[in-house]
Amino acid sequence: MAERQNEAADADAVLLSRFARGDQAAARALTERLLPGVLRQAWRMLGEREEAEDVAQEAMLKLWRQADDWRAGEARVSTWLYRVTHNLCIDRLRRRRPAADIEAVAELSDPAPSVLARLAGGEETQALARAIGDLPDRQRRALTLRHFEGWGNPEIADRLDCSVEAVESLLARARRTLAARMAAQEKGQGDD
Amino acid sequence: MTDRPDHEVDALLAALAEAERSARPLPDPALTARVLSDAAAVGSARAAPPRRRWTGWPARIGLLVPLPAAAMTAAAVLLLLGVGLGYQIEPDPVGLADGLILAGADDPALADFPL
Repeated sequence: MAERQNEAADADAVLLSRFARGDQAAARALTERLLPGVLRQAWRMLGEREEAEDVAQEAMLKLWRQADDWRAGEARVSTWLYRVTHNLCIDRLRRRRPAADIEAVAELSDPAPSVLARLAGGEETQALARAIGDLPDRQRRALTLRHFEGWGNPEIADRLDCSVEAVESLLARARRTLAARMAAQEKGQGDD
Repeated sequence: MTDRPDHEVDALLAALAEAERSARPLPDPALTARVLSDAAAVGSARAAPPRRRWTGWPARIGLLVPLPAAAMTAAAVLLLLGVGLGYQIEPDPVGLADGLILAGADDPALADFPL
């Protein structure tokens, strides 16, 4: 899986450099490859499609403008775009709740628990969605990228600026925390 | 209270991820068109030659030197030509050399100086 992701990252970088040389077909290919993920990420963070579309367009515009100065090998295009999208969403969330500090906003952001809770059908998945929402930020981000985006640990490590071992540890702790919180929720319901 | 076994948590995560995948928005053609239109605008801004300041008509007729530099060069050449021509017509138009000689003739300190 890691090899396939490396190939994809190389292909993105090649396409971006072709776009920088004036190849509009490369822009189309990059849009097809990257826009769905950007939109998905923005939607998960913001919970509203229209706003997510605006963010996705803005993030892609930043990518086009960055093409000339892109230094291949320093970062993956997808990683860079993930950070840009994340920051744009944080800006929007901050505007929604101007009194909130950035940490509080980040806690609510990736993914917005309300989005997952809305999707969860049964009681158990509802409980899971709530438990995911309560996870510490880095655990939640690692878990989201692994289980909802299907990323490999090396790429998650790249995105979260940590080692692969740290990602494994984050995921293990996230699973343990989820298991404990779901059990606590069930017990709470049983007591009621 | 016992925690959920790992495989149960994983199964629930998979179910939730599946629900999330099926609800994910996909870019509609209008959004794709907006993104591609941005890319085209950025691409054409990059392809356009950089605007020079003060080039105006010299640039249009193929002069690559910006107007102020060309004008200043021309003015400097004309000035040098003018001075040169003037000197050729009357090498010492104000009699500067004569004045110096006359002033020196009355100066005792310069009496023995061979003028």
